[in-house]
Amino acid sequence: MGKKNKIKYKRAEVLTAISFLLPAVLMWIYWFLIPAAKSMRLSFYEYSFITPERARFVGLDNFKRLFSDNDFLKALQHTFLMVAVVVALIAIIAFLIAVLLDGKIKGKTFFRTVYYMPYVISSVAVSIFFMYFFIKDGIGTKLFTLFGLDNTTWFTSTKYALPLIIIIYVWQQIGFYMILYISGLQNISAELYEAAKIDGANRAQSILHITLPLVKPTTYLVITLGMINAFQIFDQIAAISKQSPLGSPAGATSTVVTFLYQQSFSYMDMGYGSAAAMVLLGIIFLLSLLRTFISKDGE
Amino acid sequence: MKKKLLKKITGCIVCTSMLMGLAACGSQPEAPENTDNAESSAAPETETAGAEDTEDTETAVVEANNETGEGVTLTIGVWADDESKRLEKAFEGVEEDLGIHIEFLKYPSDSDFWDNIPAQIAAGTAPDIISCTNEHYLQYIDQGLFEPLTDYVDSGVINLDGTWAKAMDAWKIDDVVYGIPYALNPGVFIVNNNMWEEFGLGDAYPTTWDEVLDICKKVKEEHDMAAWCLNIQEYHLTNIALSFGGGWDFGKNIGAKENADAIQFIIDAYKEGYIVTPTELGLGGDMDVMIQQSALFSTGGAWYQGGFAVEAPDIELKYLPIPKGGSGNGGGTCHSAALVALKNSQHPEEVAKAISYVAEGNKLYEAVVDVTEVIPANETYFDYYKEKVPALTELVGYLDNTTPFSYPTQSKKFADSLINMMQETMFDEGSSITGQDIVTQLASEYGAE
Repeated sequence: MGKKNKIKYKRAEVLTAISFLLPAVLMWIYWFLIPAAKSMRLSFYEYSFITPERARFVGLDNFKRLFSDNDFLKALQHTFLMVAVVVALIAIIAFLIAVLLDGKIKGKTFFRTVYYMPYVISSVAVSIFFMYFFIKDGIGTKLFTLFGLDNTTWFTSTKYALPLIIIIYVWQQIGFYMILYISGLQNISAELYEAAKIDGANRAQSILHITLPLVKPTTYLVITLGMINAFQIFDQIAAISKQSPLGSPAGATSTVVTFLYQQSFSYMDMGYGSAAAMVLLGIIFLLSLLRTFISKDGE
Repeated sequence: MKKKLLKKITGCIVCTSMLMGLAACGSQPEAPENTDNAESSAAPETETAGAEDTEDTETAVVEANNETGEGVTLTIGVWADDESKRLEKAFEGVEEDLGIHIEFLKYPSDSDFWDNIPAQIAAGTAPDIISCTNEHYLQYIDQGLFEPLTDYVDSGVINLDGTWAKAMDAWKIDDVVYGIPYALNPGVFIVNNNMWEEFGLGDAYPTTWDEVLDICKKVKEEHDMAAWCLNIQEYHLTNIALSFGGGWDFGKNIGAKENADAIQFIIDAYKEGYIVTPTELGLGGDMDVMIQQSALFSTGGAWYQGGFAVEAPDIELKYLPIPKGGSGNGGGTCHSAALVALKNSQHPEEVAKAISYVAEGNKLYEAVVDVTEVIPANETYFDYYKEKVPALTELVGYLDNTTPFSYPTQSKKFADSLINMMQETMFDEGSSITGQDIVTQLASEYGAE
C-alpha cells in the first residue's frame, strides 16, 4: 500500500516537473537545437542563404579548407589565448574582490554596486570609453608605460589590441563573477574561521585552507561560465574594429566567432561559417567535458 | 557509482545544450530567426517619406509588408542620412500620383546595411528598393540579390535618357541593367585651405604625389604634424592606386607594378610620419580628422561639403583632382549611387513605377543637387549643378578622368584582406612587408584571368 502511494507520488512529481520543463525544452528545441542541427548540416554544404537553390553538398571540404586557412588558424589561436587569460584573470580577481568585500568593511554595498555596475553597461559604450584611455598619450597607455610598454594607440597596434580586448572584457565581467563568489563565500560557516583562528591560523592561511577548498564548486562554475562566455566575445572586438574589418587591426583581434560571423554574413559563405561554428562547438564541448571529469564530483 | 555516472552524463548533456546554443550563432535557420539577426545590434530605423517621426524597426518591417488597402507600401533602404533626405524629397508626391506609399529603412552604417540586407532578403523583410553605390555591388549581383531592370528600361517604363555614360556602364553588367544611377561622386584630393594659408604653403597646390610628399616634409619639419590623413579603407587606397596608373580591373590587374608602387608610396610616407590615420586618433573617419584639423589634406568626395557646413563652417576646403603618381595620369574613382530593386519584392511592378516616377521628372536629380550638393547622374542636370553649387563646379570636370572601382567579385573579402595587410604593414613597427608583397598576395587570392 505504502509502496503504491510512493509510486503515485513520484508520478505526480514527474508530471509537475515535465509541465515546468516542457515550455523551456520546447523553446530550446525550436530556438537552439533545430538551428544548431541545421548549422551542422550546412557545414557540409557550399551554401548562401540568398541563393539556397545553389546549395551544393561538399562533404568535409569546408573543414579541410578551415584547417588550411591561415586566417582561421590565427583566429583559433587568439581564441584559445584569450579564453585562457580571461578565465584565469576573472577567477583570480573576482575571488580576491569577493573575499575583500565579504569581510567587515565599511561601504561594502557601495563597493559591490560599483564593481557590478560595468556588467550592466553596454559593451560597446565600455569599449569606446576604454579606447580613449588607451590612445597614444592616454591615461591608460601612460600608466602601462610605467611597466615598460610602448606609448602607442593600443587598438591600432597588432601587439596591444588583443590585450586591450582582454582588459575591457575582464573589467566589465568581473562584477558578475564577484557576485557568484560572494554567494559561495556566504555558504561557508563562520565557525570554521573562528576555529582556525583559535588554532593560530592567519588570514592568508584561512583563505588558502578553508575558503579556497570550500568555494571549489563556485570556482568550477566560474571557470565553466567564464570559458563559455569568453569563447563568444564579440562586441568589444566589433567596437574597436570600428570601420575596419572585424578583428582589426590586421586580424590581431580576430576570434573564431568573428571569423564565422564574417564568413557567414559579410562574405555570405554560410556553409564555411557553419563549419567554423561546428569546430568551435567541438572545442568547447571537449573542454567542458574535460572540466566535468576533472571536477570529479561532476557538480 | 551509478549516481555519479548519471551526474556526469547529465552534466555533459547540459553543457552540450548550452554549446549547441552557441553553435546556433553560425546558422541561418527559419525566417523568424533571420529577422532577429537582421535586426540585431545595428537595427535600421524606418521613416515615412517626408515625416519626421521614426518608428522602431519591428513595426516598420511589419508595416512594410502590409498593404494599406488603398495602395501599395514600398520600403527604401538607405544607410546615410543625406541619402534618405534627398530621396524623401525626390519621392514626395508619389503617393498622391501613383498611390504608392513610401517608407524608408535607415541603417546606421554601410557595413550594417550590407550585413543586414542579405539576411532580410532571406527572411522576406528586406526593403523593395535600396540606394547603393557601385563600390561593392558586384558580389551582390553575383549572388542574385539585385533584380534586373533591363525589361523596364527596354520597354520604356524607366527612361534613362541623359544618364552619364560611365555611370550607366557601371550599372550595366553583361548587358543587364541592375540599377538606375542618380548621383555621382568623383574621388578628390581635399585641402584645408585655412591651414594651407596659415602654414604659408604658397599659391600652387600639389598636382603630383611627389609634390604632396614635399609639403608633408615641410609641415612635419615646421609644425611637427602629419599633413596627410589616410583612412585605411579600400576606397582611399583604390583612389591612390588608380592615380598611379593601377587599379584592380575585376581582379585581372591586382599584381600590377603600379599598384605595388602606390602601396609602397603609402607605406614609406607613413613610416616617415607624414600620414595620420583616423583610427590612431580614435576617430571614425577621415572627415572627422579634417574637421578637427589634425591633418591638412585627405582623399574624399563631395560629402565633405555637407559635413563641414554643419561641423566646421568656417573652414574653407579646396577640392583638387587626385594627384598623379608614378607614370599615372591621376584621376580616381567615382561613386555612382543608384536605385536598385531587390530580389523577392512582392511588388516588382510598383517598384519599377516608383523608380520611373522619380527618374522621369526632374525631382530626383534636383533633390540630389539641392539637398546633398552632389552631381546628378543625368548630364542634362550638370549645368543646374554648376549653377546651384558653384563651390564644387570643378568636380564635374574631374568626372571624365575617373575609373570604376572594379574590385574582384568577392569585393568585401578582397577589401578586408587589403586593409588587413595595410594595417599589418603600417601598424606593426617590425613589419618588412612591401607593396609588392601585398599585391602579390592579393593577386594570388583574388586574381582573375
